[in-house]
Amino acid sequence: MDDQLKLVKDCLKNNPIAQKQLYELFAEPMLGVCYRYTKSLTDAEEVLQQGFIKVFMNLHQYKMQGELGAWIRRIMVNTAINYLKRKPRYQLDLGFEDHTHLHPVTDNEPEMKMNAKELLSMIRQLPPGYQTIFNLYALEGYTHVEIGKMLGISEGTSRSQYARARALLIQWLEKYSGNEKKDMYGR
Amino acid sequence: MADRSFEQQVREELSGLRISPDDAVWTGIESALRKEKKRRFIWLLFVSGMFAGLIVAGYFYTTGRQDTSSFVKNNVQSRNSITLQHDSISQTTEGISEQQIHKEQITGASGKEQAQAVTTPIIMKPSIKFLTRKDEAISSNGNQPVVKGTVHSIKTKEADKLFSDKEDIAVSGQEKIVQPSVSSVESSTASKDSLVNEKISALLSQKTSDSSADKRLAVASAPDKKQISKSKKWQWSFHAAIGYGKPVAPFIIVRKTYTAANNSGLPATGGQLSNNTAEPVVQGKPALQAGMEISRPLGKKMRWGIVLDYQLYQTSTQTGSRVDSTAFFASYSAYSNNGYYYMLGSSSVYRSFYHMLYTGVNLYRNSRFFQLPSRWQAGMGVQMLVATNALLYDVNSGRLFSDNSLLAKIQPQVSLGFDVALGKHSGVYVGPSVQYTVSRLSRTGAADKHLFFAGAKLSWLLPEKKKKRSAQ
Repeated sequence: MDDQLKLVKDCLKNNPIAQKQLYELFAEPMLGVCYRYTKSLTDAEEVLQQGFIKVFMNLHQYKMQGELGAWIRRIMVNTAINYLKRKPRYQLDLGFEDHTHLHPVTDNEPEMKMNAKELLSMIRQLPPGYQTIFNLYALEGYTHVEIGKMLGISEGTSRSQYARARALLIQWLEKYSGNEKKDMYGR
Repeated sequence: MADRSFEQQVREELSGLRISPDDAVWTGIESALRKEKKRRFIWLLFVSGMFAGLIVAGYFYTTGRQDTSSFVKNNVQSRNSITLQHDSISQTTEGISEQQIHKEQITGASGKEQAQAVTTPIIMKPSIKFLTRKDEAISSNGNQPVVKGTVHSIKTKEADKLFSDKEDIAVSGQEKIVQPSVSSVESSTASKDSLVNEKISALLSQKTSDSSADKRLAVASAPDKKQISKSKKWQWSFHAAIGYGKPVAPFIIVRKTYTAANNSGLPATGGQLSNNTAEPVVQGKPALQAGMEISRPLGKKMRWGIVLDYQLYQTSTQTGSRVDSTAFFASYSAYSNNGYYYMLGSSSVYRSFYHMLYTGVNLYRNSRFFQLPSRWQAGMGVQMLVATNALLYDVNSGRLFSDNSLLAKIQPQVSLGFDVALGKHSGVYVGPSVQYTVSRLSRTGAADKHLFFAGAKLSWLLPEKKKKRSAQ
């Protein structure tokens, strides 16, 4: 913790070595966060880049209290949401309409544990609206009221969208588990 | 999975998710931070420059006002001294009745002024003025005295001789310190004054017969000019211009073809640019300017001023279809892209707005145009783009894309103009104005395009603030 504070202080002095160290410390977990919100690794890296630029520009606002990682994570989440709102290809699907189709993702998948990889793949196959709300509620722990404010939708819409996303994911997971069993027993 | 909630399971599965980013991400962050640092520095420089300019202008403005008020104070003193002299001469030439008239002038002044007139020592030049009965000291514009009538100037030697008997005149080098006393004002019939009367009468009767004496007559305004030795005037003005702005081929500095340094591998759109001559059609549109200026004289016929302007330019560009650039530009971080680009074509028209700030120095030469006051103007300064939605054309890739890289960059600008007053005494001037900006507003074609503006300018000059000092 003290090391992180020292790092922050050095970054505030525009020390490039400290900035690089801070980036290396948080880049990997934060790319994991960004990746959950986007449809491609390239998009996730762009969000990560924009997010870290914001982190360094606004580091003076960090009050040296609380976990630095959580503060950076909040910035990354907000950057990701702004990114989705700004990009036309995401905007089309951010209408929070009743989507039932799968959304195509790129094949450029990073290496990770099988379960997590499958789960992540399914979350990312959700339509962007569902995906965003699911990430915000289930993984970041925001309330529906907060999500509504962040996305400019009502609390009720957030709830219903989340319920649909959740149902869809469970359905896919069950299907996936069934296929796994079939493979195991040769049926 | 059954023991735990679905959300909890998902969180546990994904909490440790770590993905190694590409090295290009850090490179992009590093270059953005460097760029931001530079941008902040330029902004800081610009703002501090403007601030310093305003402080300097404000300093000169307020100093001018203080000097004006001190001049008024001095003027009251000198007016009293003139009246005092007038009083003494009146005694000699017109007798008691005239003296009483001028005594009324003194007693008519406010008590404070009268006290100053009586007690304040006044430094005068050796050439001493004497006013006749027709003389009267008046204030034409509130603070500048104009003495009308005939003023007799008597040479120092004669004056010395004349006043040699007066105790209240001290000679110090070339200057005479006149210390009017209460008695000199009130006791008009005092014996000393009667002696002076006699001497002056004799002198005047002798001198008026001598034609060479006329040569020694001085116009009242001449000593006044000496007294008001320096007059430096600051003048505020506001102006607005409307005209036509267009990116044109450069004729001052020819730059090389634009190539995005970090995007040398940017793929071209296809065969459209095979001969490298295709470029979008960009047309100029109405442009607006508004600003203020503070100026002061530079010699007899010249003025110089510091100007601050807001300038709005517009262009319309013929483009092709709009394409989502998310994937395309993902690998080309040098472009600050907004998520789309346009293909080369003519299916639609895109309107670009450029909001700019300009600060610089203008030089004016006053002249006459059919009896009306007119001014030739030449200016030089720097311009900065503060906001834009403009599309820039990359000749290499053949795409039009939004790019904020020009924001906050200093660009030199020169201007020429001529304007004529709308009346002989009007403060409103109208005339043509042209400007040329060495800008990179458009990257079309083989080189950057510079910005040309031509239009009509309307200026409103506020009354001058006068800064005057009385001679020591």
